[in-house]
Amino acid sequence: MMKKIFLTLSIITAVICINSCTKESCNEDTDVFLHAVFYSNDSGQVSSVDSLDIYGLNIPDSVICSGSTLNNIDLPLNPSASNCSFAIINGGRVDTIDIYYGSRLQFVSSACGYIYLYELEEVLYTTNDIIKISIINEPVNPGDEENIQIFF
Amino acid sequence: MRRTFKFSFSFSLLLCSLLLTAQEADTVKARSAISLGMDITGPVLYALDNSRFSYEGHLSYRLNYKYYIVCEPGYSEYNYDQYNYEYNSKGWFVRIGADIGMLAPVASKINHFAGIGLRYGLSVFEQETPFIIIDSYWGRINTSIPRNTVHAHFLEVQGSVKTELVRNLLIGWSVKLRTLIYSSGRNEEKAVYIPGIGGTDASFVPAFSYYIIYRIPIGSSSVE
Repeated sequence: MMKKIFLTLSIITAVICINSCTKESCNEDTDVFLHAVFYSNDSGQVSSVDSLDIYGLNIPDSVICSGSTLNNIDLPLNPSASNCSFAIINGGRVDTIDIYYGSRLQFVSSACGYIYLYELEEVLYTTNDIIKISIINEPVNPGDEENIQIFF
Repeated sequence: MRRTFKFSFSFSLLLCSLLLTAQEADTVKARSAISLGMDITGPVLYALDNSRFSYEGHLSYRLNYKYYIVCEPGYSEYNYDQYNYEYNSKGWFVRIGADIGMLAPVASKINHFAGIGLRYGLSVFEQETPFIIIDSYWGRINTSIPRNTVHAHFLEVQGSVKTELVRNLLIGWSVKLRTLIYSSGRNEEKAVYIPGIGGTDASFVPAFSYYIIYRIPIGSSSVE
């Protein structure tokens, strides 16, 4: 009796165990962007900006957005550098922002692999159209958390 | 969670079956014994999938019919690669703990075992990530993480059955749940696979072992 139970349950458990060893797909959020939100300097409220063009400096033909009406934008930071720059064009007025940060690798899961996380240090900018930029959250992680506020 | 439930259910079923059949009256005193064995799951899985290689021994001392002191040393190597990274680890581990028998001390079952076990485990291993590829707006990044040494501590709970096939030779299996309590590897050095535990994606890692064990009796048994 005991040997029959032993044999049967051995087979059942072995099947369960082998099934549990199958590879899984990446379900975690691995997109890491600096989340910038646009504000009106007059009202202090979130505000949409018309006809906005944004691209990374020194990256030809790499428009992040063109002619868009947006109240926020996700900016990709450069993992292989400690700073990167973007051009923001609003109705023909051009501003550049230089973002300085630290970066580090982070293991996510066996299915997803590794991502870079960032820690904002400083943002320098021109003031042709932009009035002010404030850092709200230094850590740049996956998710929609607001990192910087850009006041027009 | 679903996997955990499956393992718990199958083990509960097994224990109920065994305990219901344990109703004989001729109580005997179990001999103290030392058991030496090995887990053959590692070599068998390596034959099916050569990305992981594991040898694990089993050493136990039977105090009486109910309690056993157990030591399980082992060595493991693991290699994994996919489109965006490759990972290798190899190292030693040891689990120390106790088994608690749940069979009645009757003559027909005194040389078998069904019960639960608790273990503390220590794993010391080297790991490296020879390549990591990350595609971004700014272009493709190629990087790597050099070889580093990590130690990890974990707990294990298990249910097991061992039956005497011929005199002093036992076979048996166990289902296990392991959980990591501390690892010195942080952030990018977080281990993908820890020898003695397995993958680190889940909080609780299920495992299965199949043992071949030789028992060396010490002292004598008697009917009580």
